Amino acid sequence: MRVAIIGAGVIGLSTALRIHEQYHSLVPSLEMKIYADRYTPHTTSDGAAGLWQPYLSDHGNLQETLWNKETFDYLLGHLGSPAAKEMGLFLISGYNLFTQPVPDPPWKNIVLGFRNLTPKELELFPGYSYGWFNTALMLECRKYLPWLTRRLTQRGVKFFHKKVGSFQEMFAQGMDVVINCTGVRAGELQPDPQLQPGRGQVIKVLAPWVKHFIITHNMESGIYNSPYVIPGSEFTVLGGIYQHGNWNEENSAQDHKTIWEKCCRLLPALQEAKIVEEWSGLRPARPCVRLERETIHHGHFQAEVIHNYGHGGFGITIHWGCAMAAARLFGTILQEKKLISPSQPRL
Amino acid sequence: MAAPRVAVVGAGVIGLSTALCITETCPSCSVTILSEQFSPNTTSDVAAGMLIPHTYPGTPIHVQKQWFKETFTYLFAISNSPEASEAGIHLVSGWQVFKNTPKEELPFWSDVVLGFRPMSEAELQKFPQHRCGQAFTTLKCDCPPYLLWLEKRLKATGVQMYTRKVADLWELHREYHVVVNCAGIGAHQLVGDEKLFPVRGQVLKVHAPWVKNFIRDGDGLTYIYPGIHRVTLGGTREKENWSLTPDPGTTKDIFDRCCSFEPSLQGAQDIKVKVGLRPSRQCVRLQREVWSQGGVKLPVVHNYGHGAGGFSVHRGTAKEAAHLVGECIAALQGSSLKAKL
Repeated sequence: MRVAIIGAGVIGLSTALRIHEQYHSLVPSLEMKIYADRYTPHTTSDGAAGLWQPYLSDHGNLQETLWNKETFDYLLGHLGSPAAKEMGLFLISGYNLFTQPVPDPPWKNIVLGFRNLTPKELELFPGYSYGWFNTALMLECRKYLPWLTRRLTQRGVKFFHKKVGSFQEMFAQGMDVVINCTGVRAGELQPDPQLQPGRGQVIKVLAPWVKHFIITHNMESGIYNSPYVIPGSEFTVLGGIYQHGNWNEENSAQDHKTIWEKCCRLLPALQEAKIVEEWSGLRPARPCVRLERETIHHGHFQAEVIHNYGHGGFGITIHWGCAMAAARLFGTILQEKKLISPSQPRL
Repeated sequence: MAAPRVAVVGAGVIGLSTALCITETCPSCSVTILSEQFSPNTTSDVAAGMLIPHTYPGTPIHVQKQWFKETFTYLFAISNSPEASEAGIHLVSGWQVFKNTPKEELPFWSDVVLGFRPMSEAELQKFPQHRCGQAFTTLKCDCPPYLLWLEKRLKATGVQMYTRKVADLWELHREYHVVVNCAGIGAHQLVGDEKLFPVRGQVLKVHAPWVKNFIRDGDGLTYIYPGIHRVTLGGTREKENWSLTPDPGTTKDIFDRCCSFEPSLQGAQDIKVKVGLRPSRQCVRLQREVWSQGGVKLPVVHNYGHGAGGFSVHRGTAKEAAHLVGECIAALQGSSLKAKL
């Protein structure tokens, strides 16, 4: 049973690990290979600050809320483990700010200690009249992806630095199942007009006195088009850019100015922060995550593709729930091929 | 009287903030700071500088609350300004957890800090040995930055600072009109205050920048306070122990206790061990006296004995001390007028 995972961002690597952990002992013939044109620290995941936080509304997509919860609970369970530091995982508290009252988000009971802001707290943020405080998690991909890579390497999974041109290319190499975790460039393997880049830009600064995340929201300009400040373990990430349909991965001077001015207005102390890095990335935006099986016929054979892409600006937030769902689809394929029996216990 | 000359003895957080308040309330005063130690070698430099008040048994609660509120408001404004990082003032959120339910449900300061509320069941799961807790957001004054910032502001107003061990306040009567005693634990020897005693605290300052929240055991012995560059791990409260030498057994004990709260601290790097002697007293000695010796009078204002709560009430007590200095000067000017008649 040969499995290829295309894509080595947080989605590709976590899906690979989940599948290998669950099925390798049941299917000793399982051979797994990972193909990607970009590896850490050059993936979209690496540029993200790493804050676990879904969008404000799931638009009725309860499945995604469940996957978000599964991811949070999974990570929370790892907090006390010795691996947490190596994974880049830690607790963080902070603020979501609004200019008007808004309904509570679907994730209010997933995070810890969710509450509204008091009037005194709002004094910290002139211009904002409503907000939330909660404790959530940070998962820094610059540490998490190497951690996943080490775990996969230990398991004998092989990595290839290669841009895959088509699913057919994989099948021609004898792959039985292809897991498509190609993120924003999934359209190059199979056209998907619903998938669009949500371009973001961030400035990384040294501001170690900032201990809280601060995410502002402008209901007119839309998600992530309003300033945010997210302190990591080494740098603090300043952002607030979301440009739908913009494929440009170059940093924009105009966006830099927007981010810098807005974040300094939000937190005056940032004026003294030293700028260390600037980065742009393309969120793989889609109305909903594409997580489904597709049977592809090539010649006399049929091969299976499991799509797992389109996680927008919440890939880290949802990754483990999706990895588990993709692994369940993989399990179904194994059952159909009679490689495992339907009653096989799950790990 | 031409510019009244005021000497402030002591350059920890109390001495520096008191001197600053004096320059604010009495701009015509000439203020000089005399201290055996300056930052980074004061007791204040060892402290984490967390604004979580200590309760003084001998001071009325409403007074302590006023001191805390004044201090919190003052620092809150700095934390929200461009000077925050230089001054070392920043907000930090976290939890105070209790193995046994505390007698008071709400501490007197619960409405001064931000967002105070009981911890949820889900939050308490992180602390299986503790049955209840409080979540809130407060301020932290990182030292040395805060002390250095105070020194900078003092120098800008013309305040002189000298390293000098004052053995007796009477030494100063010829050069100064008023002496302010902010000698902290030094007051035990300086003015012979037997009611002042050290409560020794050993802490570890470690590099663990992923720790963003504070954790404090309600017993006050174990705490994790994330600062700008280092996390302070504590601690001990050893009454009448005058030793400033770090104890290796204590270091291990503190580290183990903190790791049981926050296992990721096992990965902490570059552990530095520090010791400070909290200048403890039933109540803060905040009063003015007139010392008399052979026909010579020396007005003295005392502002010491803040124990474990120095940072929490420093600005409030500094303002009160400055007010007392003002009274001393008014009394001197009154009597010098009388002398001229």
